[in-house]
Amino acid sequence: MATLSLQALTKRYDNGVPAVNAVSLDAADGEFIVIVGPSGCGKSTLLRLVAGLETVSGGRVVIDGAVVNDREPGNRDIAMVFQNYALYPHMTVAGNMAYGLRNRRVPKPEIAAKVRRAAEILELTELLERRPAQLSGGQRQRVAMGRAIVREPKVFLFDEPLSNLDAKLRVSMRVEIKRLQRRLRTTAVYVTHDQVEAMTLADRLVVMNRGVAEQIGPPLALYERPATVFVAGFIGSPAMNLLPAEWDGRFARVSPHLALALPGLGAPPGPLTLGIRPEHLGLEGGAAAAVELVEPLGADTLVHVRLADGPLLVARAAAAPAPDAPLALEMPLARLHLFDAAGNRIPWEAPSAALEARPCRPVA
Amino acid sequence: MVENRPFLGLIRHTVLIAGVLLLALPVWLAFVASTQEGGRLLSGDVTLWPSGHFLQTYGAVLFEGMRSAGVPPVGRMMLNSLAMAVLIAVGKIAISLLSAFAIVYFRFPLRKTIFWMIFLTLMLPVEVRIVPTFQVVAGLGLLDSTAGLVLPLIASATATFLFRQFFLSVPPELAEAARIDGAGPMRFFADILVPLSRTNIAALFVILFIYGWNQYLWPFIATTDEAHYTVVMGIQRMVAVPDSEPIWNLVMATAILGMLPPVAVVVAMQKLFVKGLVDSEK
Repeated sequence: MATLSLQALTKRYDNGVPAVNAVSLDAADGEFIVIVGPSGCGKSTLLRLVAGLETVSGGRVVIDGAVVNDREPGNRDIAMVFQNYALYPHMTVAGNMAYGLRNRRVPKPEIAAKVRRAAEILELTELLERRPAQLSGGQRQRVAMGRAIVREPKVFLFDEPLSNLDAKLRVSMRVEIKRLQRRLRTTAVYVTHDQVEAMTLADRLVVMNRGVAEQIGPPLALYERPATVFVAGFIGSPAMNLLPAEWDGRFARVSPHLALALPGLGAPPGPLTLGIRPEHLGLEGGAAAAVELVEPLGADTLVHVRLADGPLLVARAAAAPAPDAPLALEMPLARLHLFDAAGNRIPWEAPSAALEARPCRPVA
Repeated sequence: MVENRPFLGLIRHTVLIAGVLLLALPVWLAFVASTQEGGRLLSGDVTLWPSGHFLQTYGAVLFEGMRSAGVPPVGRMMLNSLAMAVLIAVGKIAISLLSAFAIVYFRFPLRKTIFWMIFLTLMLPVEVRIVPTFQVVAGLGLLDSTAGLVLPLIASATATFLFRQFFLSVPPELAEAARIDGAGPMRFFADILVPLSRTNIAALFVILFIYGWNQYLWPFIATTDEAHYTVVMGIQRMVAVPDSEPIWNLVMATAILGMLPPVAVVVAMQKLFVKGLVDSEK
């Protein structure tokens, strides 16, 4: 039961390049924070700074009101689950779970009771005397979780804990982790590159890019109002369609044959990025387009559409259109995301009058 | 591919059996010689089968030694050899484990340089540095003592290098997990690294025990007191008798006895030995 606060946390390696650059974050007691980003974005480094496995170059890590920058990982009251589990190969499951408690000189009967309780929660009771080598991947993963929960730490840290599992197991372990965290009400920081995991697990999501936290917020808020082009492109699968355009004060010109009127947009003329999610693209009425590829997923279908001599877009449709049939693409203005040349979101609400007039038809 | 054809199998076995015979013959001859009467070997009349003086010869060697050559009972020398070999093996392993631990897990100035310096000592076996080593040991007043026998041989670059390679192959997350579990460096070393190195330690023990047991030059230089003679030295003393013929049956009996402990160690530890050299438990 504790809060976690990162204050302008920075990690600079010897070559001077900041791996983590002034990340600030306040996690409430019991909150599940997920840090997501492409590889090399500094998300694992951030987690290791919290754990104390890397030294902090600037800023502070505060756990439960105490600055822990200079504390050894063992004295921070945290527990960590590693990607490759990092179980001690020569110890039994029970030994692995008990090791942290033994080092803290917890009395033996108490250790045994705690290990038993954790094993019950994770359904590991039958396996307590086995060695890690005799366990399956999913079981090892659960032991790694068990090692974290017996300690009853203030903060759980997860470093891509599911990426070594097969797809099916990953989904079920994901649910299990979420249920466990809800049950224990322990503050957790979870690092992943998988945006589905991130969306489903997080109370709040931190999207990182090049060492910077691009946006922090609840998953759906990030999905609906991404603050930058990067977040827009990273969150959501398939990714948001991002179209470079030229804004002249009245129209956003996407291609020689396609321009959108954006009434009420006060931005100065210049380059612009239009974003629209695949599920918001309509396939009836609008700009002429041709189907290039159809990916049926069962529940719905992904249609790759090319605008007349223009860019390629992905639409999510209920049914597959006939291949090579001419198509008209509709972009509802209310669903449009606008970003400036620097990649930041331009606040813009499509005026209701404009919506009624369906101005999204292309202007030749 | 391992092929399995009867004809090839026959050839294979013929070659292997011939090899075994070739290697075993000298040992067998030594054993046969040790059961003969003293003078008979010098007459050139050698048989291939043991004769009846087994108990007599071995009893004499084990409990009396060879007074004429100034050699104490073999039992005594075996104990000396055992102490020296075990201390050398254990000491080498302990020191190498610790130095490999320091080199792999700690960042300190000149780490690389120190590693290469340790590595360079591979080029300086006792035979090369024997004069200065003798001077140092003599200066410390350790001649004619077990410590003097063991200490100059106790550092091992080979073992350090082996353990370093093994530690490098241990996933770094294990060290991090141990840190999070509140284990300090020495605790991590004792609780996790050493148990993981178990098979490597066993394999090295076998090699180093035999190395220690077979030491010849250093004990020969560093001990003059009969009470500290090792078996290997004892044999040398028996052969190099002044003004008379060596008593070959006693020499051979001593050699046979001297061979037994290394054989016992190899036989007892062969499973761990092979495992330690072949696979890593991860």
